[in-house]
Amino acid sequence: MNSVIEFYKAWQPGMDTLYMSLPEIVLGVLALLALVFDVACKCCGAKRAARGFINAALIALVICLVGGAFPQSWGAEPKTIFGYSLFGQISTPLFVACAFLAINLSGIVRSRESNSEISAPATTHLILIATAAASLLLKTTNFVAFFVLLETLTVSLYALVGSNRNSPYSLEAGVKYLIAGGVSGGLMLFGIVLLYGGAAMAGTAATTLADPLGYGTVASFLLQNPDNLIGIVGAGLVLAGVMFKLGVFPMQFWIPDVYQGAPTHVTFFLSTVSKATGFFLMAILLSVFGGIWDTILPVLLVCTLISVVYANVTALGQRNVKRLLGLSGVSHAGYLMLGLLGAIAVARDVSDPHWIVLMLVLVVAYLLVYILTVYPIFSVMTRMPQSDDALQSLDDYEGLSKNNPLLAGTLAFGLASLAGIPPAVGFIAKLGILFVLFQAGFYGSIAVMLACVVISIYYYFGWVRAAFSADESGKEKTYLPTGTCARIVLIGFSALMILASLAYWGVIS
Amino acid sequence: MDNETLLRVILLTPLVAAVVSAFFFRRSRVVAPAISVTAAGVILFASLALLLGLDPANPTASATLPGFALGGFTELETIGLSIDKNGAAMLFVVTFVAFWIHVFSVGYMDDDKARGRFFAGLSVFMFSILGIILANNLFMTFIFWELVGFSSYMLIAHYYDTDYAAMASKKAFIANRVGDLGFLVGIILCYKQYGTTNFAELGELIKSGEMTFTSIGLLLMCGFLGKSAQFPLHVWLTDAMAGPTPVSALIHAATMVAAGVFFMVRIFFLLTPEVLTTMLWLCAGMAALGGLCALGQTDIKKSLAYSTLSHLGFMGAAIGLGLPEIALLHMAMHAFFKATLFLCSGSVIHACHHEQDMTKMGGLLKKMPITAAAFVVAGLSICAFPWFAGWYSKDMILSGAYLAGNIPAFVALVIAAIGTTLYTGRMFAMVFLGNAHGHGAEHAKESSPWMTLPLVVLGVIFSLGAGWFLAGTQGLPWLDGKMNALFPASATGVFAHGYHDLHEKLASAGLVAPMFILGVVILVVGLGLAVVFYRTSTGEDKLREHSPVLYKALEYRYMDAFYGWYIEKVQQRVAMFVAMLDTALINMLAMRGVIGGVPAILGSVARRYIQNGNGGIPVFWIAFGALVIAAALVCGVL
Amino acid sequence: MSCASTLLQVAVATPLVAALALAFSKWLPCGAKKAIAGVGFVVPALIAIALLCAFPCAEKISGYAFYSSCEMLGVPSLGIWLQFGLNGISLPLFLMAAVVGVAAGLRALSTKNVELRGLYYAVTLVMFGGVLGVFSAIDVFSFYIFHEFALIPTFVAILLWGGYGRKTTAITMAIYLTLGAMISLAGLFALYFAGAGAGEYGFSFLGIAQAVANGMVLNGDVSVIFALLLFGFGILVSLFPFHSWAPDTYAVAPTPISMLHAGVLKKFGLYGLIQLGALALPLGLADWQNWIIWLALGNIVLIGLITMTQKDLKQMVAYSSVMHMGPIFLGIAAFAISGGDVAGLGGAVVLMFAHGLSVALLFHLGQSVYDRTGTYDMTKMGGLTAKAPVLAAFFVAATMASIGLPGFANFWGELTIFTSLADIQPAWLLGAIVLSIVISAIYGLRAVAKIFYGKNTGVALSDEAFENVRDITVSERLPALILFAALVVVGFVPSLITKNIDATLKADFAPAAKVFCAENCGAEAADEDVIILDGPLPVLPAVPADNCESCGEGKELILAKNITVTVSGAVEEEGDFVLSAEDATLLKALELAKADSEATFAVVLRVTARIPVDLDELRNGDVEDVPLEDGDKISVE
Repeated sequence: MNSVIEFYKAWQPGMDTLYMSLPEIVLGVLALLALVFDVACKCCGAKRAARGFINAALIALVICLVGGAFPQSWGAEPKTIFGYSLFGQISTPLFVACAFLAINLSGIVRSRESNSEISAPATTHLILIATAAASLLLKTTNFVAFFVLLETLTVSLYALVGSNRNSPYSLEAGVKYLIAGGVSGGLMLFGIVLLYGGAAMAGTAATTLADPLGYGTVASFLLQNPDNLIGIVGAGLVLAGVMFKLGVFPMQFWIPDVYQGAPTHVTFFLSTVSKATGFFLMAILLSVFGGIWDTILPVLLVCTLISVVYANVTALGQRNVKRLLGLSGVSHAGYLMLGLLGAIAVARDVSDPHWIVLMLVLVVAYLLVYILTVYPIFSVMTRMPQSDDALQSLDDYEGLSKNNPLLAGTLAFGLASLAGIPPAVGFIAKLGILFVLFQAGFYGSIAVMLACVVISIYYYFGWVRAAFSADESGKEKTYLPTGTCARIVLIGFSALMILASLAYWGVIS
Repeated sequence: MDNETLLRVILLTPLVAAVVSAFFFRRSRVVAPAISVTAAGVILFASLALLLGLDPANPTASATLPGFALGGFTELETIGLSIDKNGAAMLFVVTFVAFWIHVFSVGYMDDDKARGRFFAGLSVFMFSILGIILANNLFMTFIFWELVGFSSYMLIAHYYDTDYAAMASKKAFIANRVGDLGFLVGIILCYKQYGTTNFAELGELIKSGEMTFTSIGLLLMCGFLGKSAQFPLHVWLTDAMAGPTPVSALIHAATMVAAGVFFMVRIFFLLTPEVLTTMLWLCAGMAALGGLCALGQTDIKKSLAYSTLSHLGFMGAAIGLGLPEIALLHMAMHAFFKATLFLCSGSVIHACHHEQDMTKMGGLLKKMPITAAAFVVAGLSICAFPWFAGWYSKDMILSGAYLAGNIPAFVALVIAAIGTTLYTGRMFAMVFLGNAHGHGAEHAKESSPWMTLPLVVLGVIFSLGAGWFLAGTQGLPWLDGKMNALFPASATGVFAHGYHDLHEKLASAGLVAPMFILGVVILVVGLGLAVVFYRTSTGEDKLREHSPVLYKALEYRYMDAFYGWYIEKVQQRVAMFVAMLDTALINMLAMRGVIGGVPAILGSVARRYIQNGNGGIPVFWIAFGALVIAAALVCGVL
Repeated sequence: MSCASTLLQVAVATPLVAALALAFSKWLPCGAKKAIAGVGFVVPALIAIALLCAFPCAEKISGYAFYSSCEMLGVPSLGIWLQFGLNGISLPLFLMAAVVGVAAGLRALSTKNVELRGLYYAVTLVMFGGVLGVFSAIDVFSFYIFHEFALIPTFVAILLWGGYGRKTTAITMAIYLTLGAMISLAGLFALYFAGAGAGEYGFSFLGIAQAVANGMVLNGDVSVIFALLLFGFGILVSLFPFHSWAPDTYAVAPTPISMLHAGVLKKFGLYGLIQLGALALPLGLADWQNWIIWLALGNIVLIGLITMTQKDLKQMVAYSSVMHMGPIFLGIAAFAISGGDVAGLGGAVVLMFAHGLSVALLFHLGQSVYDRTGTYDMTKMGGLTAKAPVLAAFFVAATMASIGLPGFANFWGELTIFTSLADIQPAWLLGAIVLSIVISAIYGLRAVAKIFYGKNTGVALSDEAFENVRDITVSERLPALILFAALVVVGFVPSLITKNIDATLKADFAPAAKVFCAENCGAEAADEDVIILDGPLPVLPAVPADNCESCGEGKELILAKNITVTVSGAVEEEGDFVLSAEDATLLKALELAKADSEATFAVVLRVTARIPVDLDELRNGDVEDVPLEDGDKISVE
């Protein structure tokens, strides 16, 4: 045990690790500022100015991140907690952008009287903390930091889910998420401990001392003795924990309830940042657990296929919009997992680096497209005339094309892209995944994926049908006003969906 | 003008006339008929010039039009037009009769408001029938075969506002199409077997020993059965009388139905003995049936239609007996006198203000002398009165049947001959003798010269004159051998050859005299019975009075009833069953069931048991799931 | 990129740009919307006609004229980028798409009471652009994506302006078409990964044509790929068991949409089958030809019977368009049945061209009948000719065209297909297939008789309402005239399009045809081991002639076809002689057997025939030489 203590004593945060985590630090500062502003300025004018400042800061951060202001050192040696991460370059700007959009959505959601209880500063604070934790999580190369950051992210999500105090659904969802998260967190910790124990027992002396819980040690341990019982069970449990985050078969039963209960902007945040984190973590862990790849692959593949089929079939019966989105999220997580497994399978037996990067880029592009498509749908959902967020069903969408054609058009484009129908960019992304799967030779999973796409047509187009059919219910529908800048944003996203499909390949290569 | 351009002019003038009058002069009352009649005139003169130009011994001419080719199918690369000895005869007969019928229809349709559409239809018909005559391969024949069926459909449906015409035109076109089905399959098999469908090349192939096949012969005969309304597909001709009378005269008496006979004569070398015998039985039976059933009709045109069926049976029997030239001869003669009879009935109908029921006519002899005269001459000719046109061909067929020793066929043909005399006598008595029985007939008066001139030319001159050319001495050649009696010499080559062969055979068998006597006996018996039984018009059909049962039998609605039953009960039932099967099985079960139902059940099951918002489920599954994954990994290893 | 190829790109882009402009034109006055939509519809048609005239003299890359490609849209390294071009087969279909599009556009412009008019035009324009793209894009994936352009517009159009029962039909249509699209996508991917995308022009028809030309060998399982393509396209093209979406969709969709969908979009699957199925996977076609025959027969006979029972005019036209898919499928199968003769494929392309026009005309006129009588139920109408003679004339012409009357383009297609099916096994099938001309005549004429002839039944239109029925207006007459003119022009001068089709088919499909021919003759090749090639070539090693089923993917094909003939009678050397197929004639056999000069008469005995030949005439050449077949017996006296 003492080797762990010595290790941490020896570790001082060098300048480069500080520099590398600068974006997260800025996020933390902004989160605190959000609380301070709320306390400091009383009148609502100041509050709006504060919120404006925070939004501006976030945009600035995204721009400099994308611009490369914070160079992620690629080759950092494993001794620091924060090694390099292939996805660091992509994930941080993505998470910050999602955070900004979530905060923007929370502004709209709160304007509805039934959600007045949600406190603005708390939401902003929690979102920013969660984003910082998520982007840091992807940079770490050590299981301790991995667990700590993961729990920070999950705890802030518990609070966010339950933030609408006067809606029973939100509180119920919060509690459910807490219990499920707790159990999976516990199991994951048990996995990590098993790995640590296994690595120590196996006595790979040289590396244990330096970084007992580092990815490197675990990777080399598993590489050297692939059929070590403890190592496998530990890896399995850790993977189970990450699958909880991503929402893959045995671990995805919580998603529909929590998505329905949580306020809409939190659902958006859950389905984008939390899912993306799960995806990137899965990628990192699969490369860490490379040693026992042959045992992991069949189990993961089976779980993913079951989750895709389960999600699509259950979604058919759904009338509640947010549960529908939850299940569609699970199916897209399944497609992402399939793509990831395919890409890694290809990467293992094809040596040419260019080809491996292309595979991974195709899969990550699918994630980007998923997030790009989900935002317009959520912004339309926030503006719908339903009484309580959690009870929004397809019937609320009747007559949308007549009352509010812009929302109907955006919804149509978004859902077409989610369903993967050609003119929209979703299809091209699916094409990429199919390309990877064909390359990896997973013919069975291709058949399942195509079948599920066909099944998904039923509920995606069912939703579009509801939006475009005449309104028989006759009750007067009040839509939240969409400001001019919101209109421009929506039109921008719809146009992006079509143009992106044209430029998709160019961007990729 | 060499033969090439003449052939092209003959074929394309009616098409141009049809297009011009259909698109630009539909409304005008004078221009459309004028265009159509001049077109018919141009065709007549062009074909006369062509026929006179050909040497009688071996009359052949050919021209080509651009066609199309696709892959291995090069049959229609160049659309060839050609004339041979059969074609020459058919060309003269068709163009001559058509021209005079065009003249007649100008008079007949003077009170009709849709004259433009009628004459355009006539020109389209001319284009198609000339196409059949000039075609030099089976595919070309099939193309114009269909176009003839289409033009007869359009012309039958001229009076479109009557339900009867609507039904009749549909029935005619579908019956023709059924015939064309067998015809097309026959052509395709012939093309596959011999590699070509050009008549000349087929001739050489068969001459040089190629096998001939009964199946192909029978299938090609389907075309004949459909077009010339023989046994199974004869139901449409009597209903085709719904069209205006010139149409019935031109299409359903003289030319279109004869085109079937002409086609069979043209591919005679392809027909195996079995095909010929089947044809003999079918046509002889139809001849007898037609002859008798003509007595059971009160509508003048329906009676003449059954007479046409009977005479087509004669021609088919002639082919069946192996006498194609005689069949062609009878077709030519029949074209003249049957067209005359139809035109007489047309002039009578026109005079009695479109009254077609014979029981309401009568006493028209004095009122319409020229029509009556033409009717008498044509009537005698159809009854094969010696030295009239009909006598040469009809008695020849009877003697040919006897010579071939085929007694049952001979008996059937004799019955048909007797029937012919009976119904002609009946028609004459009911229409011209006695006194008028309908207010239309009371003040009927002779038709305008437009109508009477064709009657005179076709009826008197040709029913009589046409016969003379065969009067034993190869006719009366004039214009230094170019014309033979009233026919161009090249047209009559085929008749003369066939007639003289059969004549020598009969002479050698010493049957000439007995056959002459037989002909006279049939004539006397038939006409005598008609005069005795039908004496004068009494405003009521004698046969129906005396024996309604026999009359009912002769009215012959059985085949129509049978087809009606088939369409209503069998075909419609099967179609309904298949439709129900389609909507039930594929639509409901497969489609809604699989795509709608199953997922809905699964969805609801999931919603009720797994996804019902009970907090405990996710926790249980996570714990259970993790353990399952770990176990799977472990056992994966072991 | 010559100006013509940019013209092609402009033709495809105009409708899409116009649609975009219309989508955001809520504040534009109605007249401006009509103007933009009009431009979007008419410009491609004019360009199409210009391209037809310019096609013969345009410079072609292995058959593809107006070639243009933009590497930016796509991944050149993977062999997938957007390429445009027209060859002999796609030119007539592109022309048909343009003509039907103009007619559909004019029909859309002339519909009176439709709300959200701008969106209505936009939806039709997007479909029109997609349809044009299908026939001009030669890159396989963009060809696929252009087809899918039409799914959402059709779905939205049915929902917003559809007829009775549109909600369920929209969803069934969406699910069926996506199922078909996904299966064909799997097929295309399988084809791509089977090595069809390697050439200099990447994974495009042009690339595949060139690869096939120089003997491409696919390393995937050919018949599985073909099966995926067949059933994927089969669903999109309403092949028999998968047809139940088509009639409901066309009956419910607004007329311009069903004109474009039934008339043009359905040809995507068939065009794909010809360009990919028949060209790249001939052995797959050979394996699956029986399936195609029996399913297409289901299309013809069963759907034909169902069409006869239809009371609703639009439903009947929809079912008839499903029925006419049967002969086209058979035309494609005929390529295998007739052992490599491309006549069937040519007939299929001509029938696709003609059927697109005639079904669009029928839908257009059906809408005019509906505008006048207020219903589609044929039993309730009657005697319309009295009031609308021009409409009656056009409708009769359209029905005659669709039932295959000579003088219209449909007939040439059907005739060529039926002829190419001559040696179908079992033989009675030919009768059942040609039965389609009778079935189509029955329902066609029944419709004409019920609607236009006879008396007004007074159910749909009371007598005084019947009085003020007017004939079709100019705006309805123009599209009908355009479609009718196209049908008649090609009907009378088929060589306009068949010349190009024939040239392309002969050029591109020769290697595929050789496969069939080699496969058939391979089976009968003599089984003795040494095959002596006539002439100077050295003796070839024995090539075992195993049965042709197994010579599937990648096997080397037998080089020259040889026949053996036995000569007997007045000759020096009696017995068997081997001749190469090209010049196996009687004279050659006699030379080999060194028949003595004064022999005067020879008989060629064959299973199917007996040919007597006079040798003197043969020798001095006034009788042309008799070609011999395998297993002939020649006796010389």
